[in-house]
Amino acid sequence: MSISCSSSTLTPRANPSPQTPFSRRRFLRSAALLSAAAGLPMVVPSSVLGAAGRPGPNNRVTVGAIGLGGQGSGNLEGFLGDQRCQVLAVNDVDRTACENARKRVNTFYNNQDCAGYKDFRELVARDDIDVISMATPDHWHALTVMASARAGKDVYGEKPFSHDLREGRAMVTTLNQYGRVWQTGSWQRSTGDFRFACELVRNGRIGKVHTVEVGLPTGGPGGNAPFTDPPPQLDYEFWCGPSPWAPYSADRTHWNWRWQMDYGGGQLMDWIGHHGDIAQWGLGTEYTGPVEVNPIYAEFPKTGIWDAATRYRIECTYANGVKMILQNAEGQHRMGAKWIGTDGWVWVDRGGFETSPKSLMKDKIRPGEINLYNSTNHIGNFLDCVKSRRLTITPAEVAHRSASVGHLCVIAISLGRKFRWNPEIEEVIGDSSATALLGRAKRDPWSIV
Amino acid sequence: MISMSPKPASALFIDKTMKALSLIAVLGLALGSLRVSGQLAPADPYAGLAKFKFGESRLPLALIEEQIRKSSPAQYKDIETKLLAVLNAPETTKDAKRYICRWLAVVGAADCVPAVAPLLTDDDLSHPARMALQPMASPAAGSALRDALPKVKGRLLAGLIGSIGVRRDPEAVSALAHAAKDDDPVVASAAIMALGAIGNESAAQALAGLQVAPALFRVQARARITAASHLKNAGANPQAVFIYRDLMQPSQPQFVRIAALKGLIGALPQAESVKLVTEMVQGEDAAMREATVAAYATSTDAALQSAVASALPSMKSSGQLILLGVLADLPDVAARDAVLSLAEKGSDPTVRAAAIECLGRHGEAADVPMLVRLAGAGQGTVAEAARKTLDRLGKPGVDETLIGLIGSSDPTDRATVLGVLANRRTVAALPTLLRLVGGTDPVRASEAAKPLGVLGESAHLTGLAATITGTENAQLRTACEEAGRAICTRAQDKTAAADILLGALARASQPPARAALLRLLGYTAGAAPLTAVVKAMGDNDSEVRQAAFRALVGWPEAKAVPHLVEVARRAPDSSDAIVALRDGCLRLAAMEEVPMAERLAAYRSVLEVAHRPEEKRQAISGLSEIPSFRSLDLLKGCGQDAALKSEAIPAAIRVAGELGMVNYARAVAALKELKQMTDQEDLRKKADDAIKSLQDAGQTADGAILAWMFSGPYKLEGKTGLELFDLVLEPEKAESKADWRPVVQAAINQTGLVDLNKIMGGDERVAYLRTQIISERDQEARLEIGSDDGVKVWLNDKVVHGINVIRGCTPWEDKVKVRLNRGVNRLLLKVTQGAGEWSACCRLRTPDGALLDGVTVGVGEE
Repeated sequence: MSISCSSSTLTPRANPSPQTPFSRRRFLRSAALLSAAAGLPMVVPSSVLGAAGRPGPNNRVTVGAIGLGGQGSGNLEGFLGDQRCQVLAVNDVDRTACENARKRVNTFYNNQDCAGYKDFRELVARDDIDVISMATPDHWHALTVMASARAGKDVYGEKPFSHDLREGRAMVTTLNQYGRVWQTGSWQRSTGDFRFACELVRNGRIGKVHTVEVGLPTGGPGGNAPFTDPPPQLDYEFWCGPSPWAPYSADRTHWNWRWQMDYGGGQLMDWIGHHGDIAQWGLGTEYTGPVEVNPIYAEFPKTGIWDAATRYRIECTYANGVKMILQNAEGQHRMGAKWIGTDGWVWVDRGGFETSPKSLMKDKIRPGEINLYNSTNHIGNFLDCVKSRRLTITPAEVAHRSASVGHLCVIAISLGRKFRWNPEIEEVIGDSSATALLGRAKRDPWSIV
Repeated sequence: MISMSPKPASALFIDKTMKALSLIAVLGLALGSLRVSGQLAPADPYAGLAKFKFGESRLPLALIEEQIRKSSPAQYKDIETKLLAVLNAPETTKDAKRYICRWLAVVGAADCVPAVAPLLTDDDLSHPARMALQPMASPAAGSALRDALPKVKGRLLAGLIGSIGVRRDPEAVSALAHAAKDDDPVVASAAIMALGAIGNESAAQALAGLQVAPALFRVQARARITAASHLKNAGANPQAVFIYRDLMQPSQPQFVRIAALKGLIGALPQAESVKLVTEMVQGEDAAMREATVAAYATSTDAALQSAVASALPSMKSSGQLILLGVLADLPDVAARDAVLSLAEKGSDPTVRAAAIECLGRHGEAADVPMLVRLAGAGQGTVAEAARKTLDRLGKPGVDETLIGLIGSSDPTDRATVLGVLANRRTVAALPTLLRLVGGTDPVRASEAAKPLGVLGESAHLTGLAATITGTENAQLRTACEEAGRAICTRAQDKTAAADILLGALARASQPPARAALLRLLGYTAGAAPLTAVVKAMGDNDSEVRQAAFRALVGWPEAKAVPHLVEVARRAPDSSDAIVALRDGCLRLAAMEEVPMAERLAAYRSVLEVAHRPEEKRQAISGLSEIPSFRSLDLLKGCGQDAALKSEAIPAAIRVAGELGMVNYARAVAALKELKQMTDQEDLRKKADDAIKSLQDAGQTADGAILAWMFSGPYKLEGKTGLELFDLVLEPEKAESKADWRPVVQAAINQTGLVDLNKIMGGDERVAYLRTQIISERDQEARLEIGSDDGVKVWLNDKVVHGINVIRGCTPWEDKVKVRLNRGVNRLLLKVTQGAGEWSACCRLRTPDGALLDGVTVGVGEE
């Protein structure tokens, strides 16, 4: 029995950061010295230093923001902070959120040009808007994205890509049909050690991969706030939109919609677009999916209105026999993605990166190997691609495939049995109940056709 | 813990033994009732379901879902029957019917359609009914949806039409064509889009023949785009092409024309498609150009992609640049010949550079000599592109070709190749490089030294050191020394590097070689090389002495301090003394990596030995950055020196102020003493201000504790945070040897919440927080605590509180009455962590919740 992975004594794990505080100044100096020693120029992206000059008004990418909760507001700041953009309009069914965002934009630009809309269709109908920043609750993703694409707009949209698998495919088809650029808010791809971890795995540094453990947060029961009239600033009918109607509760809407399957997908779907997406990136299965999905266990709340699984473990098997094990992180199953191969393992999380053997952490990916798409600024990468029309680091098909893993897991734990899946044609094999759960009928008058 | 809590008490493991129990529960047999999650479950959840209303317990629903999860498809019929019985019962609530419908989609089949179909016309239940019918494969479900069309209007009708569209029901085309003329634009739009979704020839014809209001022009165009796509997928390409061409009319909105063009490229016969793509890529319409690029890049037709690529040489420059950019993302397209042609023979340098960069993905080993030649031809965009491409070209044989070119007779080619090999980190080149460094040609040896420095490891110092000692060529020696420095700087095992250099030093006889090796030793570490460096400072040769001195001044370890001090002591007014103290001792003393005691010793030495005030002032400045009573004592000592007083006393006040959380009484005493040491009013006031601020430093205004030491994280293989709660870990032991460190201010927010994720993070572990409460008197008090997840609390070594849960942190939710002794009271918290957020907070109040006076808080010691 050991206290940590590497020690057999009951002592705390060495934690170097408090003893040797990270010094940014020292880091920059070291990096400069290392670069000089290697005979390489030290390349600092212009986004770090602040690009000089701003494009003229006619050359700016014009932005409309749909959905202005916590994530939407954060994304809005990202677009405001990029000098290539001009935010022209904002939309939210919550008047307060919409008005706050409109004021924020107008204060930022020191004018009164930003318009606020309650109905996203009015914003999307504006021909002077080039791109959409979409950060609605999950149940609105497909409708807002498809309307945007069909109006010729590129979209930066939040994860998970879709609320169900069928609408996800419809979104991909529509975005492709209209030639639109899509970036998913799976921003981990543009930060930290995630790309390098995937490159190590893809290039065989841990031998033949047989398992990847994906650790996601644990959920919880709840949603006991009383049913009341909705607050006056919220158009609750519109908020429910394509999902089944239910009486208003503060525990149903802002933020907490995540824990109800009619509007979100629980912690599993909330994080599948992060660690699940990274796991797929490392496996190189970004354009396919598992062939069998097997639920090992799942716990569901029995009280309150929150109904998403809280604890869960699902094994997904890919065509080559590799198993992806998705579980709420507990015990030895850590948050993040851990690929395990015949010669070692790689684990990565936000702020965490470990390998076995340890030497892999300082390895270098060479030109002849798989060098994965490199982005260090997620919104910046989207705007680059809006200009170049190239694929972003998380294009629609890739985002859909990552979300699909989550959708399939949700179906498996909902039915309590494993089923087989054909990722090429995206059909369940021999299970009509599982097939039925691939899509949801939208509440009138909404539809994804 | 994440923001929701607590964790559910019961697990629904999909387990055969549980299954039997559950079935008994849901079927209402024998037991009558069953306790689940602390609630008394109804004997028959179906009876409960019938009465279900929003806002009431969801338990019956949860139990039915559990039954479904534990049933095989063969058992669904029974569940369907039970659900239908409830659905058809007159007393069943609408809220129950909403719920039943969605699960009929899973367990139901054609038999349930007659019961569900009537609900399609109900304002409240139409959507739930469609949730049951829309995914159902049975034709009866399709009939039910179609049959309901004439019975509803407005949004219900639009909803029905949407479901029919999703099912792509060909039998609904005529009904939808009729609905597409509805006066209600919501209904008409839904019908138009549903026709597009069906997308067979009759639907496409219906769409084409529709005379819609201007407000629906765009809807109609979008539906036709969808329909054309379905037609193309069904092999009806001519019909699809017809629609796409129609929609490319200038009268259409740009986004429709883009979609039409994109579709058209995929639907045309290949020859026409190639022609279209090459025309559009070179066209003036930017939007259509972008659409073409997107269509080309995402095309699954490899023959089309290759055919377009082969047309590159005959295209206009503008088109070539666009296509080259796209091809750089498409390594699988057969484009090498065309790209190579432009790279070698292109007349426009911009196009040539783009082609060369594109070769980075499409080029092969055979292209390397050409690229090397171009890379060596000056500083233009073409040469720059060639260098970049050589760095990233990844095809088999590239490294071998480059290594072979090291032997080129052309010095420019050699320089290019050696630089590229270094950039590519081609370690396979090391044997060749070592051979050249040890060879007879000093020019080639010098050239090879630089990449050797980039690629080499400690073991390769042997060859470099041998050349340093053996050559009389100063340029080569310098090149080898630079390479050695690069290797030593990178080396993880400095001792191994030093051993090689020391061996060479012992063999070296010529002063320039010995000087070079001594300089290199300055980039290693350890006792032996330091001894060698110190010894060489007494060498007869001045170059050697100077090299040794430089190595000592730059030495990376504090063990050099006594030797540096000795230099200064021997000739205190010499320039060497200044260099030794300033660039040696003071540099080492400022390094955060050096242990605190050694840093303080270095500063003390400088203060003792330095003759000039400049070095002493620098030491005072450095000491002011170290919050330690030992640095405070040194600063107070300087405060007695008239020449240093003006710097030393403010520095000491600053340090004393920071030490308040460590030892309040001692810090205040020091501040009072410092106040007495100066006549300057501003400094006396600073001391007073510092004393005042210290009085509140350990707590917020409402008593939340800010002064903490932490220890951890502690984790145990296979144990969760919950399981660690009652295990006795090091900080809980009587003779604890736990390592304690101060909690930095950045990890505590204004309300006193300690964010343990900012300090250590991780899952399934515990951490400890410790502080001291100094009470002016014996008194009753209340500790108010919040934690994420669980917390155990000791006061004066006795457990006064414990709650082992997974929860979010609600500040002050745990309230514990305690008795504080006069004087020091030791407080210890153990905070468990499952996953997600990890934090704790604690404040002191009176037993009835008022502010507590007569206490100060400090962590108690360094």
